[in-house]
Amino acid sequence: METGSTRPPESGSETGPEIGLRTPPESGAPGHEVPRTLVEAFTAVVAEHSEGTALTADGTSVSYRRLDAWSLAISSLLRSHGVGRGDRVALRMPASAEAIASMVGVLRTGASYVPLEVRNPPARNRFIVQDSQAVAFIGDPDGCAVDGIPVIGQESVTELKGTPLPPAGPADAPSWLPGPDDTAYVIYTSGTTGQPKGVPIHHGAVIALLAGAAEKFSFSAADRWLLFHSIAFDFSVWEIWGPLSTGARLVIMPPWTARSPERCLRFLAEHDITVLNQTPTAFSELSAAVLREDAVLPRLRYVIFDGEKLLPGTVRPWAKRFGLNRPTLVNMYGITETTVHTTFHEVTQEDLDGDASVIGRPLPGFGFRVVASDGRDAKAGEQGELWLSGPQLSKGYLNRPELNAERFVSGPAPAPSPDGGPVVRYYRSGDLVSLRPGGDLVFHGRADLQVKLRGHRIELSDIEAAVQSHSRVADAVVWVREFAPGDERLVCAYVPADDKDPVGTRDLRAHVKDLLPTYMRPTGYQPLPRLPRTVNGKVDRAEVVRLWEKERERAR
Amino acid sequence: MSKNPATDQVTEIQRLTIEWVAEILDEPDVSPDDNFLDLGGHSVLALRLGKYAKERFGADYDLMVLFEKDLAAAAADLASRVIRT
Repeated sequence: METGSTRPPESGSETGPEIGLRTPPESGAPGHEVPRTLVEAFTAVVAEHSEGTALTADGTSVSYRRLDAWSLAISSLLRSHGVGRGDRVALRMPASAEAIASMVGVLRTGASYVPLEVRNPPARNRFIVQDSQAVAFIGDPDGCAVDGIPVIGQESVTELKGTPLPPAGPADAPSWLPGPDDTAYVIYTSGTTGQPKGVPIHHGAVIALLAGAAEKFSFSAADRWLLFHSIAFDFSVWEIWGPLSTGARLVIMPPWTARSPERCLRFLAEHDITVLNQTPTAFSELSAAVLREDAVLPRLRYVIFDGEKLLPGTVRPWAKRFGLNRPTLVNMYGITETTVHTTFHEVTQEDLDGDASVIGRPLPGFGFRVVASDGRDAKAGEQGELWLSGPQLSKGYLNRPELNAERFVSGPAPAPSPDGGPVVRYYRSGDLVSLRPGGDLVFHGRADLQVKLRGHRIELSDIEAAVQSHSRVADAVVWVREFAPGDERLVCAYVPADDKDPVGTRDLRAHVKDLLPTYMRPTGYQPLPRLPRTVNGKVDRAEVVRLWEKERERAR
Repeated sequence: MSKNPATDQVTEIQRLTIEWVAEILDEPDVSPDDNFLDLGGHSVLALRLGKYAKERFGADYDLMVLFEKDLAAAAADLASRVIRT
């Protein structure tokens, strides 16, 4: 499992010419090479900010120097178990200092980490451990480890924290180091159906994300980033490597705090968080708590949205109170397969006056096409599937050749080199977008949320947007319910904005009547106190349907 | 209570229309000034509603009225044909 010599070459030659990495301001110091991998980015930061705080968890802070020594000790331990470049290591831990040190430690062996959601059923995690062919396991297996692979408990990781600090200077043997094409992590995503699929993301892709973001944001070592999300959700990759590549501080929120918007709010204030990442669903709860408690978060510089469609209604109450500048609200449409974030858009007043979910422009480095259903490039304003190319694309799902052939396709290079240009590799996002004349993309929804009902092609998210545009609706989910064979109708679950004076079916019907054609109007509305979420903070549509049925049954 | 059997029947048709629509659409909150399509009704459900009317009164709703106007109008239209018959 060891030795660099038997591993594939580490150069970027496999993906052709150098992939246009941009230099983040932090790493531009003279004499420093532009980092090509997360390990290089981290060691560069350690050299520059060795006494700075890398992370804070459970009231304890860890300096960059300490995290450096700690992660090296973990990598030595892993190597003593035979872990080496190109291997995969399963990591099952709640968000903690140990989890972060373990990630860095794994990367320093040249291997990649495979995060497992602590709350997943063991069978699902076991599938992931097997599918990823993990050669070692860090954390509490809880019935999901595979026989014969070494298990390193969280306590063993904690013990290594006290490792004596090494003398300054390069500590990684070059032969262990990953190259830009080596996988950094494998995150499993579940499609709407079927088995979870492993998305390997290589170092160069994360570096491209961080470099692209550095052009759009003004992050600095003075920032404090919150780790809000589970390490098994790729939003966390951004939350962790944003600070660790810029010398900023990563503040780890205890997992239970995320469940209560009030507690989360207090945590943000206590820790002077400046960069907050949220799914729109989580943010609407947090925003409601902030407004209810009349709280202020003066240190907050950025709220970054991803993971779900952001509708203007979600941020309107917040913007009315705090404006759009402090903090800046940024919508980043993203996909695991294209390394967390794909686009960048600062929310504007104009957005708030409309109903569209504006996702802005792809990050520097991306190329894209908007492909209409007949395969040609969509005209401005016309909906089509978003295809993406560039250095942030995954090299393909693990063990899923058919799916790779379906999702990762070749196509003509995007404009501005229309014809005669080279053929490039695209990821077909499965998401419907349209391009505004000014160049911004508007997100419409999943292509697979399109249904056909009595001959009409209907975009469920359009109906959801219509219901959500009612000022007294906080959120809405629409789907097709089969009332009897051959009798399919649209139904809607919604969350009233004001639970003391909830908006009723009659008002909603009147509201959508002005916005939607007859065949797009839901027949049944059911208020729910809140929308159930998946462990990743996205709306759990299957659970919404179950609650809807339960409430209906109860009302009978 | 009522002196006019025809008025009784109109009231009955009004009442049953609301009841049937509520049942067919599985929607408790139905009132005479609602429109069938606005409530989420569609042509297959309109056929089912028509079947109820035919069995009970020997006449069917005028689909045009049912789709274009409110339930009170659809019921009144049906009543006008039922009572004439």
